[in-house]
Amino acid sequence: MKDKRFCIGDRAAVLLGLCLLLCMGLFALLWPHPEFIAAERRYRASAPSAPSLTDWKTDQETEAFLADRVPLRNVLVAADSLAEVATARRTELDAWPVAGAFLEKPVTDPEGKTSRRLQQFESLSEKSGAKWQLIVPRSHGYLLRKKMNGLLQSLYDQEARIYDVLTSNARFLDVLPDGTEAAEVYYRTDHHWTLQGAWLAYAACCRADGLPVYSLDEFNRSSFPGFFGTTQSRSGLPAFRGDMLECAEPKDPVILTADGETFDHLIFPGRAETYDGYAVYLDGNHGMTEILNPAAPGGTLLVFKDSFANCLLPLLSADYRRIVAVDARYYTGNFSRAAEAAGAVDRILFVYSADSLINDTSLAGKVK
Amino acid sequence: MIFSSFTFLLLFMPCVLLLYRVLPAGVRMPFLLAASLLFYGWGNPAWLLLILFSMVLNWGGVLLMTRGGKKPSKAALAGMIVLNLLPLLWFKYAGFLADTWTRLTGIPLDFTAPGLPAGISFFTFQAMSYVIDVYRGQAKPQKNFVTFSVYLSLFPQLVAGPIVRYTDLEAQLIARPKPEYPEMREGLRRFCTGLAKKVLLADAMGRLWGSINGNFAEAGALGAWVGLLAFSFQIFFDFSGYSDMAIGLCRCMGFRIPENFDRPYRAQSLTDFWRRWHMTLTDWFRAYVYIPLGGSRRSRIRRDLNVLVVWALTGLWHGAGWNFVLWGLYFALLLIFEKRFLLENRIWQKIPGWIRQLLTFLAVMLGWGLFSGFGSELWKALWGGYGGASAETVTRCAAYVPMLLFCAAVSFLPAPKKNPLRRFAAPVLMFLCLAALAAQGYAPFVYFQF
Repeated sequence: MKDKRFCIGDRAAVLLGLCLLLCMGLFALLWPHPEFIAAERRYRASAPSAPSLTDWKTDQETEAFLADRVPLRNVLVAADSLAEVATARRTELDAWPVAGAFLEKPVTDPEGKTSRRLQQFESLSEKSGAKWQLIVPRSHGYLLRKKMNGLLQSLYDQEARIYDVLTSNARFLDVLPDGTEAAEVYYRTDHHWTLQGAWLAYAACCRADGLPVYSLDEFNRSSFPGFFGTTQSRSGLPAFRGDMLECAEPKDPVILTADGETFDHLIFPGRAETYDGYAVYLDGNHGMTEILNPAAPGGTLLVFKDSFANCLLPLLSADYRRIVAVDARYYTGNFSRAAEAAGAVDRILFVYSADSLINDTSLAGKVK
Repeated sequence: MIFSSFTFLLLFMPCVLLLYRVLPAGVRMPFLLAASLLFYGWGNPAWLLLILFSMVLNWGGVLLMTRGGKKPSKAALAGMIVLNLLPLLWFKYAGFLADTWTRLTGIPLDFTAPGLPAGISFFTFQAMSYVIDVYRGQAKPQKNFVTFSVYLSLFPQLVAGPIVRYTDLEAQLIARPKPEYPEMREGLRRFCTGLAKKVLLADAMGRLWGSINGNFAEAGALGAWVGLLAFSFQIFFDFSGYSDMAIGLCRCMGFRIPENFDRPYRAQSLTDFWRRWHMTLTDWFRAYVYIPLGGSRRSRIRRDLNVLVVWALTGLWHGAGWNFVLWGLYFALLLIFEKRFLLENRIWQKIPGWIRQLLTFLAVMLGWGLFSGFGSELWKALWGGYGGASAETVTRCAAYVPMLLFCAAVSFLPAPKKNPLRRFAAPVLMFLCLAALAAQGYAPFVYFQF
């Protein structure tokens, strides 16, 4: 009798286990899934191509297809990331959790690219005859490093050398000095700075140029709750509390031209609802962007930038009549061509994260 | 197809196991053959020709050899062995031989090595065991082509063993067993354990080793030692995990195949280690090479020579490269030394057990250094030639300390007699493996290349 009971248990366990696996497989194979995975900010692998005996890829293509459509994929990825954290391998994740925030890996510069970039910026600016300045904010992790009990200390020591090189250059604007409260200037779930962080950069920039510095209260403000950014996404870990995305734009009428399209506002509230909430600023990243504010006191500013400047440009547009911004990742030409296209400029500003400054290959290829 | 893939776990395995359970006995073998061929051909359909050739050659060849009930001739046996070895020589060793020729003579050969079909060494050795066992009268020729083909291509152990001798499986193949649910449950438990060894432990260790190998100047001595330790765990969990999965899947279909590992890193001598590591290969070489050469019944010098031959071949079986030959000879010399000077004189037994275990593991680990093929750079790093480790290496090694300790505990400590979590282990391990696969993607087994 006892054996019989056990036998039924075994049957149920085997059939349940195998049927569950098969259902997962059939769901992955047959259920129509949206092409875009919002949580991972990428498109799913496409269906396997027609098999070819001379170039057999069906096995790998099928595997990629199933992996991208496996049921509860987000839960599985989160479980794996949690397992990495639980076994002390959180620093192995693409972005890892510390003090309630998700951080990117420390930036190191073993090949001395920082100095090379400074020289390249200098020679580019010489050609246009405009004075230039550089903003590279200290990273979120770097500002938090003292709260990590020595974790990755040696790598952060290497990151410190990048800032040492930068601060020794007179063109560098040290907008987030060591000791800045990280929680105020960086989002928890995203690698970008907050409006407060961007305002510090704006203030430093305007002071250096002798322009008035407006407080944030003097801008039109808007905020969007439930923002889950890139670092949280890259960690794979679940986040139950999003950030509050705060934006500011001048009260004066402005005209934004981004890749040929014209708008009369700099903030795009509709983008806050999408997977890329940070695109509320300037409608996201574009190769070349122009902002006109005829009421501003300053002249023309040419900005070479990565996405860090997207939050900063609306603030700067209160002080500059014309801003031309160039993003190397999306602009097809090199920087000299961009400077020619921008026409006469009064000042050049370079705004990059330390990671972009060192590791962005499009910047390295176009800064000439 | 590999076990640690969604294709296998979510489609192939449940379909095949459920269907195999419900099919009538007469259809089970043809179904298993079709499933095995699909499994094998999924990675590259062209390889099917090779295994089909081996099936026809060995099935037909043995029937011809034994036609009329006569004892097969030595010449026929030799012919069959040569015909079995030819594809192995071509696919696995032609590139190696051409490279060696060029190095020795300086005359380059216009030759591109063909790709290595998965599991060719495994099924070739199984086929040869069948031919030799029939020649020796230890097995009867199998007249049913499907039954023989299932033996040669049984998908759980087709590409990475264990190497099953025909005599171990003959009766089961003829009986065409119907799997019972308790057996299937035990089999699935074993499969999940093996899958976890591969996906959760071996792949993690592989990532650590992968971040260190090839960059020993930056890894320094610390990185090289930790990396080699990680590689030792990777290769063990990868291969023993595969064997667990193969044994578990066979059990799900009512087959019992031999064990391949018996906690080898708990061995207290190298002789003991090789009784515990890849036991079916050791058994194969003992039965078909070492004993026919005279084994240990001849003089001491002849015995040592036999050991050298067997281990050189074992090294070559693992891979077409001088590092594998060197690895085999390294073990041959250590085993000869151990037997002559440590075991026979009973010196070794006077040393405390944990020291013997540690020294044995150290010798094995250094052997894996040879096996890895990283050559002088690895050895230079191990002995401090590149100085200390970089900050990144230290950080990475530190992050893996808990995993390394866990792997060490699983490898070195005795198995717990009672595990209260056993009931729940399989679904939890399966979930964690699916999670890791979803996050990591595609990671083939290390042993596929052998």
